Amino acid sequence: MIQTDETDEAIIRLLQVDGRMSNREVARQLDLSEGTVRQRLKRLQETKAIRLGAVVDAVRIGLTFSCYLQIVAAAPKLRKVAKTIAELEAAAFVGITLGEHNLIVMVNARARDDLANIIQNQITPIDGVLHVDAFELISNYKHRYDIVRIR
Amino acid sequence: MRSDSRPLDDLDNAIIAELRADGRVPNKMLAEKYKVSEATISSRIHALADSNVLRVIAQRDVRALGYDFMGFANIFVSGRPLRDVARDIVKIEEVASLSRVMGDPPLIAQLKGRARHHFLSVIAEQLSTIRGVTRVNMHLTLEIVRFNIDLGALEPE
Repeated sequence: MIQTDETDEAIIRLLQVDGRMSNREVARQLDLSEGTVRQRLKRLQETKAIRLGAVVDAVRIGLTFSCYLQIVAAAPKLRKVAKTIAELEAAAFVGITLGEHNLIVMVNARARDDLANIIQNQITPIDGVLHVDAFELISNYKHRYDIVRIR
Repeated sequence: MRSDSRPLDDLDNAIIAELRADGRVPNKMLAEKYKVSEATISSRIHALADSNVLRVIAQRDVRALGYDFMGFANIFVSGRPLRDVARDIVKIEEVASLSRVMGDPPLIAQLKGRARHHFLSVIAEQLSTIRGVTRVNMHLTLEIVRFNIDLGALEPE
């Protein structure tokens, strides 16, 4: 696990508010050299402690319909099923889980028909999928996109 | 679906595509490429952020922050308005996301925890004791195969 010091944390705090703040401006606000800021950010990004990038609102770019899928897959085929689903453009999240279901998937689509087609024609027929429970998303009460799993 | 959504024009869509490819691309480069002023680029990017379409931020890694446990909770609710129950659930720091879904359970949450006992205390002592929560059915995430972290709900309810 990567260790961050106070300087790293101060830099991250500024960029959590405005990720487009220039290295020069970060350096000026924290009384550091621009080179220090550049080096710190390079290390933080290379070790995947942070990602500096754009986050877009799924609904606002047209992905209006979303669905949680809770799937039971045959254990010997679990990884293969997960990989097949992860390759679908519509899959925003695929996780192997321990519980009543062994796969949890989030799919996004532009239209409700598309969502149904993805689930019924592309996911359910995959060899090894035994059962699919679908929960269409109505709204989000909370979504922490600032703390994620960077891979 | 939000009725107040300002329609995006070609320049907005071009800027969105550029920032998704490189969130830190300088305004100056975008201005030259799209033959507009730097001020125009700057104001467009601010407008996209203010209207919750796109934001460029530093995202932090959960594991780098010490959270080794992730999971999904199917939350069953009864005897209290869903919105009130949801309002209490989102206050829990370890709740990474909370969605209302069609069906029963009405709520699905994504949780994070630092260690096994911490994760258990979030479920048993915080989530399950909220008034109106009748049952919590957990799925522990063993492996993430795909996670599009550039997609988010920038304007939760």
